[in-house]
Amino acid sequence: MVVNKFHLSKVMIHLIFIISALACIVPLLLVVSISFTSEKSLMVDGYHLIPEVFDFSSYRYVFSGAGSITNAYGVTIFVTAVGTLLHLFVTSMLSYSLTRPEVTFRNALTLFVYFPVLFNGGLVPSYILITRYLHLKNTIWVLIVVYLVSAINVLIMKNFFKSISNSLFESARIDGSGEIRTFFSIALPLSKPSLATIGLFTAISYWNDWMTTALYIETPKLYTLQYLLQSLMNNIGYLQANAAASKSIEAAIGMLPSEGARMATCVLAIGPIILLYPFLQKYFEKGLTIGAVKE
Amino acid sequence: MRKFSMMLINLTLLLTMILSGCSKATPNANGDPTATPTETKTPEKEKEKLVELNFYMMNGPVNESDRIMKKANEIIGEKINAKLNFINVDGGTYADKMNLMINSGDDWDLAFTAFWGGINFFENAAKGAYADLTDLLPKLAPETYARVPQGLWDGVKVDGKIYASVNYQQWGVAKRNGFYFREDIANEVGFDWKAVKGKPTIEALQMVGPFLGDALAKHPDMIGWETSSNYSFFANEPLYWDMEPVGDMTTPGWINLNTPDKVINQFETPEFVQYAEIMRDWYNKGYVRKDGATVKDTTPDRKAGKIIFAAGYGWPDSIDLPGQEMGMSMTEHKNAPAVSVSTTRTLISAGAGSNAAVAVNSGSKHIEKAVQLIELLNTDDDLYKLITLGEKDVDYTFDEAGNFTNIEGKYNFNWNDWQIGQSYSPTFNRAEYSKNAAGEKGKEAMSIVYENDKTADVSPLSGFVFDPTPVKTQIANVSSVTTEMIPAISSGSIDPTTAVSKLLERLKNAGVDDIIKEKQAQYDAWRNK
Amino acid sequence: MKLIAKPIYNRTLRSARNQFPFYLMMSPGLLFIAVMCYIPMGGVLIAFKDYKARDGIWGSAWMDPLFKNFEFFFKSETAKIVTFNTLFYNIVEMVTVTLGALVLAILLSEVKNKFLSATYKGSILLPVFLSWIVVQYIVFGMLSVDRGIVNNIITSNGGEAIHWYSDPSYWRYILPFAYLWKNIGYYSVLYVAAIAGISTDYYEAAQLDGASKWQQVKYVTLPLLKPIIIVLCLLWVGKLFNGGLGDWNGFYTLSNDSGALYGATDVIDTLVFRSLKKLNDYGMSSAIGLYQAVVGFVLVLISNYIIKKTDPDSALF
Repeated sequence: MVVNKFHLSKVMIHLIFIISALACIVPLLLVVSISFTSEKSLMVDGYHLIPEVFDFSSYRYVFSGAGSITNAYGVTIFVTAVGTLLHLFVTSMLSYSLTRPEVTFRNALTLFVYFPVLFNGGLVPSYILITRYLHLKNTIWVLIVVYLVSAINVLIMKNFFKSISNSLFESARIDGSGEIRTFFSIALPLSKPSLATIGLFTAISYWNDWMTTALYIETPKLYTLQYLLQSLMNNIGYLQANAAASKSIEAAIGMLPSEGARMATCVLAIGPIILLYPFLQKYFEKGLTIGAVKE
Repeated sequence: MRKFSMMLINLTLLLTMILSGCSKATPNANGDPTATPTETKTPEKEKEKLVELNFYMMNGPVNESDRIMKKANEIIGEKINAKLNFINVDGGTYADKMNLMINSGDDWDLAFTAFWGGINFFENAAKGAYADLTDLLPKLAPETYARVPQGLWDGVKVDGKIYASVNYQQWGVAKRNGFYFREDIANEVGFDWKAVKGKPTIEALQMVGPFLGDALAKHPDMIGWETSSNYSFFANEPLYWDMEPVGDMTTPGWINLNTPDKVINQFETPEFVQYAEIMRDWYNKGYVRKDGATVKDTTPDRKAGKIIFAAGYGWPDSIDLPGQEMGMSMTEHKNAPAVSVSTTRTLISAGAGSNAAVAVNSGSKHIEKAVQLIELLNTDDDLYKLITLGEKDVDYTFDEAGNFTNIEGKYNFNWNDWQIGQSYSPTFNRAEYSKNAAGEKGKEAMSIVYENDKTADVSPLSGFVFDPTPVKTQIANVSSVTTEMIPAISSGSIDPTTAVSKLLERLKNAGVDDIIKEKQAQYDAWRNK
Repeated sequence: MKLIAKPIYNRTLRSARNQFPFYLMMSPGLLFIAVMCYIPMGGVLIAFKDYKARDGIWGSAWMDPLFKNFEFFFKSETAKIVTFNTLFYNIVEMVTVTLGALVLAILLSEVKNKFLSATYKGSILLPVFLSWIVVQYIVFGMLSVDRGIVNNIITSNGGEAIHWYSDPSYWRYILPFAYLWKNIGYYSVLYVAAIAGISTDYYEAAQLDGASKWQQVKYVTLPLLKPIIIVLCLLWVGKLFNGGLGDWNGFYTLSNDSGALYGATDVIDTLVFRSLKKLNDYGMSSAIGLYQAVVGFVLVLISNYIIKKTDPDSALF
C-alpha cells in the first residue's frame, strides 16, 4: 500500500512536469512552424502547428536582407561571453563582501546598490554620460558596460553567499588565507549553482539586448544579432505603418514575408542561446559539500 | 540612514550641476573621437581636408553597402570634397534615437526629418535643433530650391525661416484623395463606379453601400471596407472631410477648409456623426470586419486580396488617365485588378512639405558642406540612382517583359529613396521605370501629378506651428480617451447614438475645450503677425 | 577618557585593515553603480523642469507650478482604474509566480533521474528566452479571430468563433497566465539553485526522525528558502506600482493595444505610454516614473522595517 502510494506520487510529479513542459514547448513549435509556412498559406489557411505549405522563403529573406549576419553572431557571442564573465566577477565580489559581518557599512551600501533599481534619471542623462564623457559610443565596450552590474543579481547572490557557513571562512582565516583568496578558493567554488543560474540569466539579457545597439552603435560591423534581426523586422513593420509616406514602397511591401520572417528571426535568435543551457546544466546539480551550510 | 540619504541627495545635486554646467559651456561638444570611424581613406591628398558627413536615416540593414558607398563617395569626393556616411537606424527606434541625440546635444550632420511618427520636425525646429537654411539653400543649392514649389517651402518654415530641405517626390506632394474598387467585382455586379467621382465623402459612402451588399452576396469571404484599430477613416483622413488639422492631426482641433478662420473639434461635426452611423450600418450588415476595433495589422487581408473597396490617393484616377494597370493595395494587377476615382479637392496640406525632408544639425561644423551635399544628391541623377538602386545588372535588372526587378540578396536600399532627396526630375531620370507600356503610363501619370502640384490649393495653415506646451496635461488625457474610443466608433463596433455623446463628454472632462481655445489663440496670433 | 579612547582607536584601525580587502573587492561594482546609476540620477530633476536640450537639465526653467508635470496622471479619469489594475495584477503575479515556482522547484528536486530533471528544467525555461513581441505573436496565433488555432478548433467543431480581443473579461485570466508562463522558469531555476545549496545533512537528520516527504519540505526546505523568497518578494514590492512588476511591455503588446480591453489591461505604465506617445515629453514621463519610484521605495522601506523586526537575518538592508 505504502509502495503503491509512493509510486502514485511519483507518477503525479512526472505528469505535472510533462504537462508544464508541453505548455512551454508547444507554443515554440508554433513559432517554428510559422517560420516554415509560406506567407500565402498563413494568410489563407491561418496558423497551424504543422505547416500546410512548407516553404523556406522566410529564412531566405532574413539571410538575404541581413547581409552581415555571421559577423553579428560573432559580435553577440563575444559580448555575451565576456559580458557574462565580467558580470559574474564584479557581482560576486560585491555581493560576497556585502554579506561579510566585518564590513561596517554593509547595510548602507546595500541600500546604495538597491536605490537605483527604483530611481533613475532616465535616458537623456545616461546618454550624455556614455557618449560625451565616457566616449563609449560606437565601441564594443558599451554593449558590455551597460549590464555589468545588476543590483537585483547582487541582492539575489548575496542570499546565496549568506547560506554558506561562516565557520568555513573562519577556519580558512586561521589557516592564514587572505580574505581575497578565501573568496576565490572557498566561496566561489561553493556557489557554482548560483553562479550558473545568475550566469545564465545574465547571458540571456546580454544576448537579447538590442536597445543598447540601437542607441549607441552606428557602425554595421558592431551590430549585434538581435539588433540586426530586429531592425530588419522593424523596417518591414514601419514601412507598413507608414506606407502612405512613400508610394513606391506600397507595392513592394505586399511581397515581404512579414509574419514568417518574424518567426524565422526568432528561431535564428534564440536557437544558439538555448544551446547554452545543456552546457550549464551540470553546474545546477552540484550542491554544497557537507557541512558547508550555515547551521 | 537619514544622514546617508542626505549625502546621496547632495552628491546627486552636485553631479547634476557639473553635468548641466558642462553641457552649457559646450553646447555641442563635437570632439568625440570615437564617433566617426574612418574605414576607407581616399588615396589622393587634397589641399582642403576631406569633410566627413554623417547622415542619419530610417533604414533597415543594407546589403553590400560598402561597395556602393565607396563608388558613391568617389563621386562625392570629387565634386564637393566630402565623404558621405549613412547611419541607418531602424524605423522603430529612429524617432526615439534622434530625439535623444538632439536632446543631449550629440553630434550629427544631416538627418531625415518629418512631422509624423514622433520625429517632431516642428518641435525640434522651434527648439533650435536644426540649422536655418533660409539663405543657404538659394545660395548653395539653387537647383534644389528652384524645383520645389514655393508652397512646400512654406511648409518647412517656422517663424518664417526654412529649417529643412524638402524631398520633393515624383508622385507629387499635393494630395487628391479618392477610392479604389475591385474592377472585376464592380463589373460583375454592374456598379457604376465612375459616378462616385467628385462626390463628397458621405455621399460617396452612401452610394457604395448597396454595391458592397451585392458584392458580398456573391463573394461572402471578402471584406467590403477595411477597418482597423490604428487607422480611422475619419480621424486620420482630414482631406476626405474637407478639413485640415491645426498642429498634430490626432489631437482635436481642425479647421474646415470652407470656413478656415475657426478651429473646431472635429468630433463635434455632423460629418463625424454621419460617418459613424454609416460604419455602424455597415458593421451590422457585415460589410466590415467584426473585430475592426481591435485588429491592428490588416496587411494579411490586403495580401490575400480580400478587400473590395478602399480609400486611396492614387491619382490621376482611372477616369483621367485610363489604362493604368493598378492593383488593390499590396496586391498586383493580375490578382486583384483595381480602378480608382478621385473625390476630394487637390490640396497641398500644411504637412506636405515636412512629410519627408532633410535637416542639418544647427551644431554641425559643416553646415555649408551639408547643404552642398543636399544639392548634389538632388541634382546628380547617377549618384542618386547609384545610392537608391545600386548598379544595373549587378543589383537590379529588367526582365524579358521590360519590368524593373531587384536581384535578390544584392544591394537594396529598402525603398527608402524618399528619405535622402528629391526623386522628382523633369527628365524622369532619377528612378528606373519599367521599359514597357506600363513604365510609360507611369511617366505620364507623374507628369499630370506634377502639373497639378503647381495649381493645387495651398492650406491656409501652411507655416503655422502649434506649441502644445500650455496644454500638455490636456493633450495627454485627451489622447488616452481618443485612442480608446475612436477605433470602436470608427469601425462601427459600438452604437454611435450613445457612443459619440459619451466620447464628447469624456473629451470635455479631459480638457478638450482648453486645447481648442489654445489652438485658436495661437492660430489667430500667427495670422495677425 | 584617555584610557578608553586608545583601544577604540586601535580597534577601528584593525577593523579598517580587516575590512580593506572587502572594500577592494566591492570597488569595481560600487564604482560602476556610482558612475552609471548615480551620476545620471540628476535626471530626476527633469520631472520638475520644463526641459529644453539647449539649457541642459539644470539650466531649464522650473515648472510653474512645480508639480505640473505630474498633473496629467492625477487628472486622468482612468487613474483610479489603472492604479487598481496595476496593484491587482502585480499581487496576482507575485503570488502565482512565487507559489508556482516553489512547487515546481521542490518537485524538481524529487526527480532523481538526471536526464528527465534536466529536460523538465530546460523546457520550463524556454519561455524565459522569448521577448514579449514573440509571445504576442504566439498568443495572437492562438487567439486570432479568423486565423487562430483556438477559433479554428471551435469553429470546426461547429462552435461560434470567440472575439478574444474585444472582451475584457478573458484578459483578467490571460494576462496573469502569460506572466506566469513566461516567468515561472526563471524563478523555479533560482529556487532550484537555492535548494541545491541546502546540505543533505538536514534531510538525513529529518529522515532519521521519521519525517515524511511533506514534513521535510515543511520543516527543512521552506524555512531554509525563506530568506531568498523574502528578498525576491521585497524586490517585487518595490515595483508594485510598475505594471507587470516593472516589465509592463506584456500588457501593451499581448492585448494588441486594443481599446476595447483597456478596462482590464490598462496599467499605469501603458496609460502613461499611450498618453505621452504623441507629446514625446521627457518631463511628464519622468514625473510618473518618479511617482512610481517613491511609492515603491516607501513600500520597500515599510516592509523591510517589519521584516527586520521579526526576522533580522532576512531583511534587505
